[in-house]
Formats: sequence, C-alpha cells, structure tokens
Amino acid sequence: MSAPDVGTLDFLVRAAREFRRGGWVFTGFHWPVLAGQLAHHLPGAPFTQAFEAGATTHGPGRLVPTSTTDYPAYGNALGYAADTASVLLAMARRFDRVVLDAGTVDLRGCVNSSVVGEHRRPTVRLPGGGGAPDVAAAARELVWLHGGADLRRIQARVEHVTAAPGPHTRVRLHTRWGVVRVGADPALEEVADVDGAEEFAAHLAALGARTDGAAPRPPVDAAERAAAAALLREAADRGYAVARRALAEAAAR
Amino acid sequence: MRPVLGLADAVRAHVRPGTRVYLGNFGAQLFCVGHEVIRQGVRDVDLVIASGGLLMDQLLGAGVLRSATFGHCWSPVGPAPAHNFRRAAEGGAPVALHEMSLGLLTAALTAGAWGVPFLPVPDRAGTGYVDEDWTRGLLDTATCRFGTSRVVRAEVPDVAFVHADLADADGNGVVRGPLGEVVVAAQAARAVVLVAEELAPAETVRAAGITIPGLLVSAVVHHPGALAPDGALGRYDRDVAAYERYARRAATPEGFRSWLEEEVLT
Repeated sequence: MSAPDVGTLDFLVRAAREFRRGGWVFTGFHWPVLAGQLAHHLPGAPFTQAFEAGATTHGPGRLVPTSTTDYPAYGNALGYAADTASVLLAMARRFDRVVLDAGTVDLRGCVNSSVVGEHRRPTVRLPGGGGAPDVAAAARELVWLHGGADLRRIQARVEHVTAAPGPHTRVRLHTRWGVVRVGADPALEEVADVDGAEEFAAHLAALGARTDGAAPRPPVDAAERAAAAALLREAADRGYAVARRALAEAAAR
Repeated sequence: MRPVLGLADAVRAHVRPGTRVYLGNFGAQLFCVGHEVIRQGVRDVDLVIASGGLLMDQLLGAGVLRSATFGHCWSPVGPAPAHNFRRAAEGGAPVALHEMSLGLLTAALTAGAWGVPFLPVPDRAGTGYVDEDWTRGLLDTATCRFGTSRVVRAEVPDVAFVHADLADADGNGVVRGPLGEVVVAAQAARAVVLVAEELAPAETVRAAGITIPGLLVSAVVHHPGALAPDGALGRYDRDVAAYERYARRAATPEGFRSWLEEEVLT
C-alpha cells in the first residue's frame, strides 16, 4: 500500500508534536483529535487532553475517536468527566495549549465555521462554532490546525468571525506548508520542504504577512511518518474523509 | 417512586406543538426520543440541543422543528455536513435558528436552573454571536453598580430528555462519562424524563454515584440502546457505518425521505 503524501503526514506529525510538548492540551474536533491520538505514539513529554463536553483523557483511545464526544472509543483513557462550563468557561485559561481545527482562518487568528454569505440566508451553512468561541477567547496559547490544501481558505480577514483569540493569546497556525504566527504581526515562522510551499509564502505575503524570516521546519523522521500513516489507515476505517482522501491519492500515484 | 413509562407514552405526555424540548446528552444523543417524536408527527417543537448532530438534522428534515437553539450541527463521523440543516438554512426554511457557543448555551441553562432571568457571560464581541446577532436576541448587556457585562437570557425547557446509564425506582440517574450541560438542563427544565439503559436497585445506583437526583425527574423510560447509532460508554460503540449511510442518503431530500421511511417510520 502506498503511503499518504508527505505533506499530510508531516502536517499530522507536527501537529502531534504540539501535544508532546506536554501539559494540559484542550483538544478540538477533527484534525486535533487525530493529532492527539497520534501524539501518544510519538516521543515527548506527557500530556493530558481536555474536551468541550467535560472529558479529559490520559492515554490513547482504544479506537481512533470519530469525534471529541466518541466516548466509547476513548474507553478507559477517559478521566475526569466534568461538564461543559467547567472546561470552556472555568478552566480554559489554565490550559497549557488549545489546539483547534481551522477550516477557514485569517491572519488575525479568527476562524469562520458558521456561514458563507448572510447569516439568516447563507450561501453555505457551515456547522457552527460549538465550544471553539469560548476556549479560543480564553486560551493562553492557541494552535489552529488547517489541514486543507486550498490557499483560499487562508485569508486576510474571514467574512464572519465564529471564534477569535483573546487580546493576549499567542496564536500560531499550522498548515501543510508551514507554521504562521498570526495576530497583530503575522509572520511565516517555519516553512516546509514540500510542494506548494513557495505559493504559500507568496499567498501570505499578498495577504500582508512577513515571510522573510522563516526558518526551515524541523525534519520528520521515518518512524514518525510510519506512525502517522498507520493512524491515517485506522482513521479511514473510522470514517475520516481526510484519511480516505489521502490514502486514495496515494493509491493513485 | 417515579413512573416508568414506555418511550411512546413519555413522548406523548411531554411533547406537543409549541413544547420547548431539551434533548440530551452532549455526545450521547437520544436518537430514540427524536425518532419517537417524528413517528408521533409532532410539529412546531422548539429544540434546545448543545451539539445538534444528526439528531437535530433529522428533526429538521422531518419538519418537527419551529426553532432550534444549538451550538453546532454536523455529522461527527467524516465529518460530513448535516444536509437537512444546510438545506433549511440555505433555503430560508421557516425555522428560527438561534446559534450559540456551547459556553453561552450552558450559561443560559444555568440561569434557567437558578431561576434568574439572565446570567453574565464572557464577552464574545468581535464574533458574529454579538456583532451580527447570531443568537437572534438571546444576548444583551446589563449594567449595575458592580459593572457592565454581556448577559445571556435564561433558557427554561418545558421538558428535558436526559440519557442515563442507570436509573432506580425513585428516578435517581447515573450519567456515565462527561456531563456536557445535562445537569443544568435537568435543573432548568420544568419536567425531566430520564431515559435509562438499565433499571437497577437503589443501592447499585447510589454506589455508582447519582448524577441526576430523582427530585428533578418526572418519569423514567427504560430503553436499552437509547442512543444508537451513537455510542454509550461501557455498553456499545458508535455505529460508524450507520452515520455514513445516513450522510449519503440525506444528501438529497428524496434520499432523506426514503431513509426516514425505512429506518424511523416503519
């Protein structure tokens, strides 16, 4: 079986490393769930995950969780089962890191996951923000994960703001092409050695970000890529569209 | 003692046109209740639900809802769009969609539980919830001598359906796993129907740790598999194939209707 493309694997590994920096990591839906699950198979500092419905987990799920609320998949890894208010309103500012999915994101660190067009009669109705608006606003350090391959989803200003960081939140955006510091002084911090990286840098520059000081991204080794590939295969069986797409593209190569 | 009702009787007794219904739990969706509401043909229901998911999508598609107050709505498996939700919003269906963050919704239920008209909440200025009134009138600002705060209007459901792993004859319930907003929803609601996977002796329920005290509970429904195709911690897994099948079929209105006929109405 062919491996998924390096861009997807490396993106996932680098996202997982955010968890392996250790501490308490609030984990959002989709890519963060996958990255958190992968992180248990990578070296690094111990970490605990927290979720918007009140769960914490203290190890990998017995299955790849289909979402943050797939409690049977987390199984015995589930720990302190509190409630939404405890996690989103009382404890959010205490987490070491908040890792959330960013489908459409801008250089201010704001995300739109609600609508395209008018809210009361949208052109495209998106799912909505869930707990992201609460936890993003309170986060000390916010990591957005943008796993897509469409540069148009990274914008100067999103059309509508579903979730926005607080005024003192340190915000970084992980993409398959590199890592961007977003906020008051957006800048490309790390650039990956993958197809599309130059276009990405040009896109960011056109949006108004500094791109001249970017460093090469730390390498991803073969063992890390193998772990990510294995996770994606399991995730495909658990219904993840991004995993199935990555595997299908690999098979077509 | 609390009455133990069949699912159909409990829904018939508590859900009528105009009823404000909280459907729990966050991440453990009571599909059995939603499907029974659909089968009974109730219309003009006002839904309160944290994570709308496919349950809200199905209620929208079946024409049950007059309004929905929700945090988000999609299929968690895939993830895939909630197609009826999208069609309703994009097509301008006459369903009032009150979009909240989960923190705001929980605070609204807390205000309802405490019997106060509103509750101060962290400000969300700069987002559409405040700047574009996505909540449709559920947020305001209050000033008193302690300061000024954004506030959320109290949410008081007429009835809350709450999933429990265990329940005893007095209506004490054990919720396994994360609680989401389910406790404050039960405290806020005028009536609570506990839908339990298992009825158990009181000493077993006490030993497991009571989450929802019988004081709050109007009736108990014993319904194993109440969440399916969602999963119940320690009992059954989320049925990924069923979620995927639904997402495929609900992609068109015709597909949704045939799914509804085959999987809910028959």
